[in-house]
Amino acid sequence: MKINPIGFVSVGERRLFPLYLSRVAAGFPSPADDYLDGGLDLNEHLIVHPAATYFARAEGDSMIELGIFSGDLLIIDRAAQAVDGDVVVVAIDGLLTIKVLDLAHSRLLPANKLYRPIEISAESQVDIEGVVLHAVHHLRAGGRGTCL
Amino acid sequence: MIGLCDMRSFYCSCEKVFRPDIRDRGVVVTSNNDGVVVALDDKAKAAGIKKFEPYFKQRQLIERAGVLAFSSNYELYGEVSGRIMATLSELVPNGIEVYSIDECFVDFSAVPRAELKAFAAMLRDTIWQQQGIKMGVSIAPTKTLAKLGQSAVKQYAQLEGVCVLEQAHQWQWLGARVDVSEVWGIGRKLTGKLKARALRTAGDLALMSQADARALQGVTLVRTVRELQGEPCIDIDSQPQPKQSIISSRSFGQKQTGLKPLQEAVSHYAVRAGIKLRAQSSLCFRLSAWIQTSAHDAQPYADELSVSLPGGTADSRVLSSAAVALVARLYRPGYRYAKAGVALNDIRPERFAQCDLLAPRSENSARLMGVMDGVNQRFGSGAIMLARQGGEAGFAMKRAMKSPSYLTRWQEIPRIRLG
Repeated sequence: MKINPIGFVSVGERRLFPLYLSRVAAGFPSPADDYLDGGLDLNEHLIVHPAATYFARAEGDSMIELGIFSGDLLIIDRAAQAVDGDVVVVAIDGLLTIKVLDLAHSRLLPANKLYRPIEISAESQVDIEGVVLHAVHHLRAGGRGTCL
Repeated sequence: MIGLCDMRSFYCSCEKVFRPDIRDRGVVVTSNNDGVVVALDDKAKAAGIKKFEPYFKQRQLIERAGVLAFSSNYELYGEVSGRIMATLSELVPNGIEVYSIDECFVDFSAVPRAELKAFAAMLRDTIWQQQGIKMGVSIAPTKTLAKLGQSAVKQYAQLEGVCVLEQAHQWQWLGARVDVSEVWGIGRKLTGKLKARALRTAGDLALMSQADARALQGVTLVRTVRELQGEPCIDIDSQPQPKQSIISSRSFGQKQTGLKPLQEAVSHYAVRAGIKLRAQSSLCFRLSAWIQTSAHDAQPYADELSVSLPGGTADSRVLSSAAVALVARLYRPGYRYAKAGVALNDIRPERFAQCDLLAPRSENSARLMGVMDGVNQRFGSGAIMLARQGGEAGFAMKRAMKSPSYLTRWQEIPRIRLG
């Protein structure tokens, strides 16, 4: 490998002076120029409160009936007010987990028949740590994201 | 009215955001290289652990008390801080002045007096819910009194994180109970001078005559005294000024004797400083570099050199090659170097760049640097480096107990066990 050092004053080299910084328009302008929309930003579509949103990786199969699979990327909003039926991140006795909020019956519901609901007793410490707004499921690379 | 929002035990609290299992434990955070304890929460304090004392000396105490130690995770603290400041500036009518990583001043002049307390409580609750960080809010007619109010927030749990000092009798009551050393802008040296004059509390200082204050420490102390009396002298500055100089400097994990590791280190620091420079859209016109042994070394040595960068630059390659060249001139064999650093000085906004016909300017530089910053942001800092930055081996920081960068690196986002 050859590495070229870059000095801050290079002498004797041919340089282009930036007299014309923008390209001069010539020829017929594109008829689409007046109709530019800009690109679509996925963040805009998926994230409501950027400063209060975090990502996490799901592990386990207790939520598969709602389409959350092991390895999915979760988009979690801490600013959204959790309501009945929301999928929420909860801290129960020092552990983070994800369940459906069932306030009417003071329960947390799994979305897999093999698991039992968790009753919220008066003395158990349950904190809601955000509402899961989206689960991004990767279809390639064995269901796992490329960033993993 | 001016408010001060202060994040309680900020570094330690950040460590607990994604770790509900340790929220009831005491936590300490160590410095770069795990040298000293730089932050500790109330539980760690209660266990007798001391700030700024060496970690290794306190290690037994920390372990025996069941306190957890973390290496500083500035990626995490910086991100949480940025999110808190962004949240606050959306909630308050007149903007905020970011004062440090965990404090900001807020202009409350547009909030009706009767609603101040409820408004402050709303800010406190929002930050707790959205960021998982406990915040104290103190409100007073001046910045210095707002700072004083934080002493009350910390000391009196019944305030529940909100202290409004509206009337003179309120801040006088508090001032009599706060040591003069805790007043904003009163350093250690000045504390000694004030105590020698029997001015022991913030309340005593508020009664100092302006002539005495001027004689002792000039106009800055006069301003402090007047602010303690409730007269605003220091404005809120909600327009952040771009930094006038950027310094990147670290102690090495182990002492270095050769030139090459020193050059790799300063090259690395120059690149880091370049990232900050570009983040504020500025150019740097002067760079200095220094190397030093430990001050306690039997053979101490320290020196610094600087070079001007004609036309200004924000190109990491140029900054790095300048720093490397300076270190070659600074280096003397036979010493055990403990630290090196790079400072970017004479920083000006990009838009004031001179079109110097003699200085090289490549349009590609800005694009290349943009790509470099983008890749490093996405894949973690250090994903793309200059070859002369080396492999980080000898001079890299020891951060053996660092928690994951939960919010800034894809590979380190929290994993949640669904059950």
